[in-house]
Amino acid sequence: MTTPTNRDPSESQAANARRPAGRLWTIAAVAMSDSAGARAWRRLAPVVVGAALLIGVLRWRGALAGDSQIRPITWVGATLVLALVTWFSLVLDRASQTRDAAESSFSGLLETIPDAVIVVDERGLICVANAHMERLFGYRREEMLGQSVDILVPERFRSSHKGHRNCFFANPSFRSMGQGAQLAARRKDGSEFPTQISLGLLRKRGSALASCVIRDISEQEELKQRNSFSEQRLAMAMPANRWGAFEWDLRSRSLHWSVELERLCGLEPGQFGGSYESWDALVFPEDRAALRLAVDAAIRGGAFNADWRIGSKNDGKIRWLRAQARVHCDRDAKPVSMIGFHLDITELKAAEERQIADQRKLNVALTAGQMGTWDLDLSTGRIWRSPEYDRIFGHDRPAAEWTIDTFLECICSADRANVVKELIRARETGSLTIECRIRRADETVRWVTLKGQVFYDESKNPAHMIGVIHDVDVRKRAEEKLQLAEARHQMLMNSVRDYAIYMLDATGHIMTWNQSAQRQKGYGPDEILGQDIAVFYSPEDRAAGKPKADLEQAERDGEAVIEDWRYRKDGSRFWGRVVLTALHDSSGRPQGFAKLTRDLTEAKKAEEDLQRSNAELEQFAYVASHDLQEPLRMVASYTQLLAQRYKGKLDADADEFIAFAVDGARRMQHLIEDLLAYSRVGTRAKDPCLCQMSDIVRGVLRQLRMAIEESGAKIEVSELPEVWCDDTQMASLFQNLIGNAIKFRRPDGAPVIQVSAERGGGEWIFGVRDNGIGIEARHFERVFQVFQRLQGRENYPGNGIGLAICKKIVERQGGKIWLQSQQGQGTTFLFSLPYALSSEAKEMEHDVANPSPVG
Amino acid sequence: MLPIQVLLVEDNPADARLTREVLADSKVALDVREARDGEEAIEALRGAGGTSGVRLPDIILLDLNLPRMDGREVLAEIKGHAEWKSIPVVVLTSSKAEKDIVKSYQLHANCYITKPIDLTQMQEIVQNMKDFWFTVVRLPTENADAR
Repeated sequence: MTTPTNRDPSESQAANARRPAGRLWTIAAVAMSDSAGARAWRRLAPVVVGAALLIGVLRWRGALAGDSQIRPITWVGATLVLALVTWFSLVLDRASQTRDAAESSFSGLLETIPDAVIVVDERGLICVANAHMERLFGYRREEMLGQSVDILVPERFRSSHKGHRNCFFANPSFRSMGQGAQLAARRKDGSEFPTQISLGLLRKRGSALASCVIRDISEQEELKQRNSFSEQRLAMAMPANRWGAFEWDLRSRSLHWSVELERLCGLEPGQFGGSYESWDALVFPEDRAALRLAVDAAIRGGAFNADWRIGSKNDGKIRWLRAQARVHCDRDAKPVSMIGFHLDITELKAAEERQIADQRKLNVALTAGQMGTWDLDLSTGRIWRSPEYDRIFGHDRPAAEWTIDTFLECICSADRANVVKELIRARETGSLTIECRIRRADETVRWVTLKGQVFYDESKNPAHMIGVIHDVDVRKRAEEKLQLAEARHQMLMNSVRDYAIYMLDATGHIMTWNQSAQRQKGYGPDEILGQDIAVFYSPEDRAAGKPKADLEQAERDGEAVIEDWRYRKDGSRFWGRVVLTALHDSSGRPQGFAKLTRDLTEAKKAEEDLQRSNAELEQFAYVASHDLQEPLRMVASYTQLLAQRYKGKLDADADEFIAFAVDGARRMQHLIEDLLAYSRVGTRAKDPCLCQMSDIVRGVLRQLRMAIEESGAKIEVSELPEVWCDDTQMASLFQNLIGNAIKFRRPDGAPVIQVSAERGGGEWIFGVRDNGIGIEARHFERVFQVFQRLQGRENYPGNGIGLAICKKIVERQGGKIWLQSQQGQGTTFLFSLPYALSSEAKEMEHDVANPSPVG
Repeated sequence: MLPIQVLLVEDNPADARLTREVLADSKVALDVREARDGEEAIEALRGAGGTSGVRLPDIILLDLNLPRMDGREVLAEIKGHAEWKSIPVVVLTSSKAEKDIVKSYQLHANCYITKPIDLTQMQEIVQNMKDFWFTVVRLPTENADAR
C-alpha cells in the first residue's frame, strides 16, 4: 500500500459488476485495511472521490435502464462496492496484471484472517462477511449480506446496540480488540456466545461504514475461569493487532507489506524496501537459510509456514514472527503470488520456551523421581510411554508397542483383577490411583503406584488416560515392615497383661495407652490421653508435689523406681511398682518418659502375709518350744529321779522302761533346744557390725577345741575379709559348718578342713572344705531342711538342724548357701555375702560422693 | 541348831516337789514352806517375824512367773521392805531370758539361777547353792535383825 494506482477505475467496476462475490471480497479487503489504520484511508481519499463519481454514473444508468430489480440496498451496496473496488485497485500492486489475481489474493487474505470480519453501514446493514463469519454465526454469507446487524445480536440487546451503533457513527473512533466491553452475540440457531469486537470506520462523503472484527471469546472465557495461565497463553497466541499482511508478486519480485507488518517489524510506514532482499536483510542471520528453504518449498508446494526472528529497531528486542501464506497460481499452474500474513508470536514463543523449560524441568523431576509417564489411548488401547516408564518395567531399551494388555500382563496376578476394576472405575470417575505389584522383565516383582487422569474428546467421551507411574517398592516394603513391626509392637504392648506401659511427654502428660493400662487403671484412651499423670496419685501425694518430684528424679537419674499406692478411675487403689525412664533424642534433649507400672497389690499382700506368717511361725516356734520345756523338764526330771531312787528296786523291765522314758525325754529336750536355736536366728538377730571374719573363725575354733583335738583335725584358715554382719550368727554359722566337717569325717583318716574366702561378682564367697564322707548330689537341697538327717544317729549324732540354721543365717544376710560334694571325696560348703556388706565396699561408699544404696 | 527356814515360791506343784526333793538330799536341816503365788509369799512374810512367834525365812527361792502377783513384784516388795530386804532371795526360774536376769538383779535379787533341764545338773546346782548360802555365807540372826 504505497502509492495509488493509475488503473482505470471502470475496469474494476466492470469486473465487479460481473462478479458480485469478488466485489464483496474487495470491500472486505478495504474494511480490513481501513480498520487497521486511518492513515491509509487518508491517502486513499482521491480514489474515494473517484468512486463517488462512479456511483453517480451507476445510479444514472440504473435509472435509465429502468431496472426495477435494483433495490435501494443494492444501490448502496453497489456504491460501496465500487468505491472499495476503486480503492482496492489503488492498493493493488502496480505489477498486478489481472483482476482475477487481485480478487483471489484479497479474498484469500480475508479468508486467512483468523477472525470473523463484517462491514456494516450506517443503517446497520451487513455489507461484507468473511468465511469465518459463516462458521462463527452459522449463517451462510448470502443470508447475512444486506441483513441488519441485529441478527447477530441477542434480542434483548438490540435496542441498546442500535444506540451504540449510532453513537459510534456520530462520534467514530478506532477501537481495537480488547478495548471495548464484551458483547454477547447470537448464532443463527439462537445460541449465544461472548465476543470481543474491534471497530474501524470508513467514511466517505458524510456516509460511513464500520468494519468490525468479531472474535469468539467463549473458549477464552471458559479457560479464564478454568485456568488463568491457559487464558494468558491463548491471548498471546491470538493477540489483537499483532498481525500484518503481505503480498509478494512472484513475477515482478515485488514484495508488498502492509503498514501493520512494517510496524511489527519496527519500520515506519513505507519504509520497507519492497523486495525479498529487503525482507531477507531484516531476518536474523541464523534464520535466513531456513526461511529461504521454506519460501522455495512454498513456491513449489503452495503453502508457506515459517517462523523467523527479527531484531526490533524500536526496542532492540528480538521478536518472533510467524508467516503463513498461500501461493497462488495462474491458469497454467504457474505461481504468481504469495499472499499471507505475519503474526507476532514473540510472546507465544516465550511461552513455548517457558513450556519447554517447564517440560524439561518436569522431565528432570520425573526422571529424578523415577516417575514414568504414560498415555493410554482409550479407543485403541495403545499406550505411549516415557523411557522412565520402560525402565520401571525393566526394559533398558524401549520395548515393542505397548497396549493395555501388555500392561496387564505385567501386573502380578494377585493384583490384576483389582487393577482392571480400578481402570474401569477411572473411566467413570475421571481419575486413577492404583498401587500394585508388577513383574519386571527380569522377573523381579516390585510395587508401583499409578496415577492418571482421563481426558475427553469433544463429545465428552473418554479419549485418553494420561498419568505417571512410580516405583514405590522400597517405600512399600519399608511400610510393610513398619506395619508389621507396629502390629507386633501393639500386640506385645497389649499382650503384656501385668504391666501398664505408656509414654509421657516431657511435662508428664500421657501420650500413649495400652490395654493393660486400661485394665489396670480403668481409664479408656479417650479419657486419659493428654491428662497429667498426677491423676494416678493420691490427693496427699499430689498436694505434696510427688508427681513432679518423681519425674524430676527420673530426669536426673535416668530412671526412677517408685513403689507406692496408685489410684484407679473408680477411686480404688493398688500397690504399684513404677519404673519411670527418661527418654532423650539423639542430641540429648528430653523427649518424655516411658512409664511401666506393675500392679503388685497381690505380691505385696503375699509378701506381707509371708512376713506375718514367718513372724508368727517364729513366734510360735519360740513360744511352743519354750513352753514345751517346762512340762518336759518335769517329765525328764521325774523319770531321772525315778531312775535314781528305784533302779534295782523294781524288776528289770521297770529299769528298762524308765531308761527309755529318760532317753526319750532328753532327746525331746534337745529337739526343742534346736528348734529354739533355729527360731532365734530370726528373733535374736542383731544389727550388723564390722567384723573381722578371721577373729570369728578363731573364736569358733576355740569353742570346738575338744572336738578338734579328739578327731585330730587339721584346720587351715586363709586370709579372711572384714564384713558387716551379725557376729554371733556368723560364729554360729562357722561353728555349724566346721563342726559338721569334723563330725562327718571319714572313719579312716583325720579330717583336713580349709576355710577360705574369695571375691565373686559383687560378693564375697566363703568356703569350708573338708575331706569327709561327702554327700550324694540328690541330697544337696535336702541337707538344708529342718530336721533332715542323712546319717544314722548312732554314727553321727545330731538332729539335722545345723545346716537349716546356716541357711537361715546366710539368707538373712542377703547371701546364699550351697555345696559341692562327691561322695567319699569330701564336701565344700560355700556361702556368699554381698560385697556391700564387706568393709571395702563400705569404705568405697564413703569415698564416693554419691553413694549407691546398700542392698 | 535351828533348821534353816526356806520359803519356796513356786506355782507348779510338780516343780515345787522336785525342788523339795532335791533340797532334801542333804545333811542340812531345812524347814521348807511353800507359797503358790506372789501374794501368798507376801502373806507368809507378813505373818512371820516380830512378835508373831513365826520366824522369817532364812532364804527365799523365788520363781518369776507366778499367778496373781508376779515374782518380780514380790522381789521388789521384799527388797523394798526394811525388815525383809536382808533376806537373800535366789531367783530360781526356767527363764534364760537376758531381760529377766538383768531385771532381777536390778531389783536386788541375790542370785539368779536357771533351772537346768537335767535332774543331775539340778541336783548339783542346788547342792552348790546350799553349800554357799547355808554353810559359807554368814547370815544375820533374827535377833540381830530385830534390833
